[in-house]
Amino acid sequence: MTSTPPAALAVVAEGLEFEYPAPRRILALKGVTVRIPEGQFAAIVGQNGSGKTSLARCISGYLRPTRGSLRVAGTEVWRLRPSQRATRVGYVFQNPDHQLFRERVWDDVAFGPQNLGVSPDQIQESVERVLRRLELWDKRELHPFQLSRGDRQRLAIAAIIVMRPQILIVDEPTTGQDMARSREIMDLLAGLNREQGMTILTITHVMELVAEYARWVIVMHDGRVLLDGPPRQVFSRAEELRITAINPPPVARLGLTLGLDPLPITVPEARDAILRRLPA
Amino acid sequence: MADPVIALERVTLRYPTAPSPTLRDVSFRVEPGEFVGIVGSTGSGKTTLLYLLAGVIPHYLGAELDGDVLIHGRRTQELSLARISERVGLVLQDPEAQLFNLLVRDELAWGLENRGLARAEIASRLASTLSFFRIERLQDRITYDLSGGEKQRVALAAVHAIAPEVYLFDHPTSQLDPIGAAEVIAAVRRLAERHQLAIVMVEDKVDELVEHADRLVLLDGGRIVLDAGPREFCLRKDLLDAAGVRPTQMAELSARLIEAGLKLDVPPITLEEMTVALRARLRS
Repeated sequence: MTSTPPAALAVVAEGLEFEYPAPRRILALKGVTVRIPEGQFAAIVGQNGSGKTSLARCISGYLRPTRGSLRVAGTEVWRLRPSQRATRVGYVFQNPDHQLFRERVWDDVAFGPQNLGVSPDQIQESVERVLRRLELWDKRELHPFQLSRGDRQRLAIAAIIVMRPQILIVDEPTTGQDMARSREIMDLLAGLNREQGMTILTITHVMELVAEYARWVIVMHDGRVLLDGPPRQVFSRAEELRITAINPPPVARLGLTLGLDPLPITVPEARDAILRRLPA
Repeated sequence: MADPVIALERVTLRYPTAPSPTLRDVSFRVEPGEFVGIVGSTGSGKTTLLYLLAGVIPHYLGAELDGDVLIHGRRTQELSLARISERVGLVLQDPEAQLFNLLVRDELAWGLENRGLARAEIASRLASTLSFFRIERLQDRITYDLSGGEKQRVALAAVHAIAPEVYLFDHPTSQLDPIGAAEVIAAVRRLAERHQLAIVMVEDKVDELVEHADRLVLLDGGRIVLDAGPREFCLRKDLLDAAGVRPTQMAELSARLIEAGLKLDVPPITLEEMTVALRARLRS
């Protein structure tokens, strides 16, 4: 494996277009221009069909841009062989059952490093580290389909992060999870971001989680970036968001209606903002 | 009180391989026109409850069962799964587990063809279903080519085409964007009212359920610990915390404001209520 020099930007897209090939011929990305710095925790939001997953798959290198330019971890990632891509960018599928395929939990996690030519000793060590970290070590001998949905989702993440990608893309990590499980997964991503400096890109529909975890929000609409910025700034532009299926969290909508400044985006922020405005 | 369409009476259920029961002494009834939301954390027994109401248990999945599951007063054990499925439609969480025809319109017609309906009747139900769910443009698409959200709409529409009296939903909007989810749940509400259908929906989006459901049922460790209207449900913070479920954001905010000493006679649980309660009090 060769190491790449650290670049300041994890993702740079300029006029990125992507058209699905015949017979569908859908122009899913119609000129996306976006910059995501290294170490960012970004959320891609937008309605079904707005281009979120197509953008994520271009960034992951699975899809080759039709037009425009795209550099990921300093390189045109779609030109790389899968083994070269894997240490730069990892993509966790929305449905873990589309990704898991080995007979044992341990094998599913070891599959990536084995294909990267990592030595057996190192594989032992890194698989164990990741399984312990994701609280799957005690389940390492089980068949993945004996795990709960939440455990399978964590296993799908384990099988990717074991290859230590610089950028981790997680498509809808909270589908089919209750709020407590969703937070566990977001906490895990936040930990990877904080401790290893991993750039996190997550696609989600849950704006409460975006408000709590993401530091940058990219709003997709009709194959383009409609808005991007920190969550507070994006959620304050309710007028522009109206044409998307994005509704800021209820506390942010309350803040906009009542003119609370700065705009609260979480429950504790809303409480404090309201208490400040109450007569003594 | 109207007669319930479906009812559980003191049901305890244990799967053959499980060390302890998945449902414990559960009683619960749904009347025509009623929309009941089921909420609880993973493993609380929500999906098992739906499988029981759909007759999947005991007809397809085996389990030790105490108590009665009744459809119009008849025990589901005594009815065939085919009979039950004419009255009770189940929309699964993963639409891919449900869709298996090549084209969307074939998927929607499949249940009707299997009931031996006349061609004209099939065509007319197909058209009204496509329009009710606003999926006309999808009718000639290949089902496995649809997005997750589109698949969920088609799975729901396919059950609707059969015109059951009871709809059971397992997280029907998990792959829909927020507006899409709100639309689907509002459409389900209209269905319940217009055709006096009974709706039982397992859903984590408490905000949406509070807007549209008549009652919310909280499951914790296989027991029903709360069965109440939306406001009472949201204000039982003790039970919700114990069950690992969050109320609406506005109900949480109400609780925090009351803790901080603000007087709120009727704690707001929706955005509209909170806006009204606060607008007059805040200094500009």
